[in-house]
Amino acid sequence: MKTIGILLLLLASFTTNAQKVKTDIVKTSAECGDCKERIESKLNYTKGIVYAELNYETKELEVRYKTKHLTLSQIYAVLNELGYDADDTKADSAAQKALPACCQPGGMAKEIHN
Amino acid sequence: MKIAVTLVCLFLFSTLQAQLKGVVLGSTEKEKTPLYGAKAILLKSGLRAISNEDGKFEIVLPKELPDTLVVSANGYYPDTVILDKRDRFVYLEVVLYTDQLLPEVIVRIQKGTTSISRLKTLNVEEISSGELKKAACCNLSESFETNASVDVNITDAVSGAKKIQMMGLDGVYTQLQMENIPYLRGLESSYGLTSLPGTWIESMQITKGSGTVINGYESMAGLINIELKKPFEMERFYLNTYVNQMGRNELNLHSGIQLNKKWSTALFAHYAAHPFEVDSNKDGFRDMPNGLNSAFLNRYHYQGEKMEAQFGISFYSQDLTGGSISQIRRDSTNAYNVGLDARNLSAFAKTGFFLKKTGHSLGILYHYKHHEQTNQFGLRNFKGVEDRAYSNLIYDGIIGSTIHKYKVGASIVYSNIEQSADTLVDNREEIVPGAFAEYTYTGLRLIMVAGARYDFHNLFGEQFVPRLHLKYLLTENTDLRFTGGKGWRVPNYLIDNNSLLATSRVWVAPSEVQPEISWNVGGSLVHEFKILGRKATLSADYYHTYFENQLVVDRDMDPEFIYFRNVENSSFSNSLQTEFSFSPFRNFDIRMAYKYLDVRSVFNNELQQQVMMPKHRGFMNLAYETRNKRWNFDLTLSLFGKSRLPIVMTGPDEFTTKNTSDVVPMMGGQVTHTYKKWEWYLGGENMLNITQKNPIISVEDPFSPYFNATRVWAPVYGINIYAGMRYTLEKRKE
Repeated sequence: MKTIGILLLLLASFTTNAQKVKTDIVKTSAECGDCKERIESKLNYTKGIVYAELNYETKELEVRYKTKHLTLSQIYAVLNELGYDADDTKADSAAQKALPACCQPGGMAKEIHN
Repeated sequence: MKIAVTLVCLFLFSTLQAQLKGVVLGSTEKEKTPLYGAKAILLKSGLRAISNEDGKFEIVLPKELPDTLVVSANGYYPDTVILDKRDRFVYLEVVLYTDQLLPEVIVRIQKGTTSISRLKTLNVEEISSGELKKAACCNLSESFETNASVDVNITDAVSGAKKIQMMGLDGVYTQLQMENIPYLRGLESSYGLTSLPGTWIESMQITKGSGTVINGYESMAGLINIELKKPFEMERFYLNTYVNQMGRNELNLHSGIQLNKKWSTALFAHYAAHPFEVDSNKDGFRDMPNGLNSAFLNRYHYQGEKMEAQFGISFYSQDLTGGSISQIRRDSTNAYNVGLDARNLSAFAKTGFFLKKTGHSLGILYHYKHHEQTNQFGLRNFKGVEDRAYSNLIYDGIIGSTIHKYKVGASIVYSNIEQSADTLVDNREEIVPGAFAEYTYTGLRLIMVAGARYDFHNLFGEQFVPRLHLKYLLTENTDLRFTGGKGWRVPNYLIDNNSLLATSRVWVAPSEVQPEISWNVGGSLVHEFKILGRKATLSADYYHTYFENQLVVDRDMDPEFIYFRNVENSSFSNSLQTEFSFSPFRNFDIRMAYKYLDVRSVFNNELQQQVMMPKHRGFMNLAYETRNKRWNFDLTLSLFGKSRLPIVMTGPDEFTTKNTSDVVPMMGGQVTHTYKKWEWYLGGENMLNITQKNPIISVEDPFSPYFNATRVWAPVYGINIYAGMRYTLEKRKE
């Protein structure tokens, strides 16, 4: 599985030039399907994004983007604006409060362990 | 159009206060054991439950569904399951994986757009709206084109009508129902599929074999339930347009409106116009009739504390003209006219009450329909008027716990149907009261549904219908199912075979109309496994249908006549289907199916294969979605084997020598691009451009005794390119 991914990445870097398209894994505070929909539907229609996929079980966002149009910190900014932490950046608190319960920090844990 | 309809509209939802039962198992590398103290929590409603020593739990399902159930336990990865209304009363098995395992081994669940539901006892194939979008055009008949279990056939070369088949048996033997109300029966059996626009449909459930006894006695080969979009969860606004190269254009508009906390309503409107004459094979006949279809539906939903109610009213009209092209109509006295006109008004109501006792509920359903149909094929005319009223009452209960559940109830059908064609007349007034009971046992591995119903028909007397469905979990990944049961229906041979009027062959009526009675037994095996770390499914099913009595259409006896006659204890169908689906790489799904059909009856005093029925059928569907979900690609390839054709005369004492059809490959595909609220699609039907040469026999002289437009086994029209757009404003989330 992983090796296939790496091979694909290698392939992609040969054909498109590694400088221009980059894949990063971003640790987010997103925890449920609602978050997935919010993040993916925002990022996938953002200029410069090739694709964005969230695995909410691991909270990891796999994002592939064109470095000409976007930097990783700009992606952080988009996530923060949506109300999510991204790696070491913090979510916009007003946006975060407006999210549904399961998307609040620790939302799932609270639901599960109460 | 008589609109003298008084309605007392109350229906009941069969399942109101529902309890979900399940078991939590913990999986380590070696074994699976029940988990004690696992937590099950519904995220939206906050309801929760804890599993007992056997890993079992029960949770009351809230009225607001879908909801997300999170199951967690110490030392295990939590898992989530989305529950919707159809999951009420299902038995859930949740397997949690120990956190000693690497996350990679955890199955990633991707909900396929079409899937054989492993949760359900009956062999039910679920078709979601995602799958329906693959067939952009246009109505219910096209909705089955990306599905291998239901075949869609062209009935003749002039009406453009399509009919479905399951297990090689005509669509009349499959009971269609719309949200549990019997649907497209009687006068709608031949042309009704076009009256339901595909975009109105939320999902469909296809059951092979005899279905549940709750909704009547008419499911003989299968049961197809259609769920329309619901006011409380559908789009606020939806617009769909479609146009194809023939100039056919369609428009669909829906809107769901939340009136207040308890009430919601939805409006649906549809029109389809086919304005231009097309005669691609230059035989002087239009390939498709021209005209207009329009449909309208308004439905309401009420969600209270102790009750739920729905009611709605729909209207449909169709005005189509086909046959000779206008040039021939101007220049010749030999013009052949085809007219297909229909008007339909229907109204329904459902009410459901939650009773004080947990797990008990009461539902009542009412339905009324008025339908008028006038068809013309040259000099032959069909006229039909039908009034139908139906009511059904169901009491749902549990014995002790949800391990033992039962449903009991009663129904009544009133039907007044008047039909005439040529000089044949078939008028009938039917009153059929009935009662039914169904018991469901839900064990850990075995689930059993046993049901029976008793109906008393005012003309044909009593009928007892037993049915049994079993599901056994052979292993964690393998389900075994068995089904057996009886079904019956009263045939309406004039409308059921209406397209056979598109010939000069004279109809010979049956000596008397008798109910058709069949027994169906079958079984299926569904096995899930992994290829390349992704889910794959292999399934195989076999069904045998045996007719105690069938109204057989004999087109082999004499080339000048078509005989209708009751054939006792001879007709049967054997259907074998295997299906394999897997995903060779991420976001790419392949589905392949093969079907063998052995459908025989007595034709020309000889037990032989049904005409126009291929013995072999192959099917393949490829679907790919880009990782950013902006592009969807879908391709379907179907292969229809050779079939036997009915005998036919081409001139005085001249017969065709070609009595077998060719192998017909069909390919269709579609590309969809999504951008925020917009979707654009471009697709093609019959992309291999396969057509039948000379689909109409004696086309120059449509009033000769040799004229025949019913020997059609391949499309009349070649490749057809279409394009369209969808605009969706989703319901606001609170």
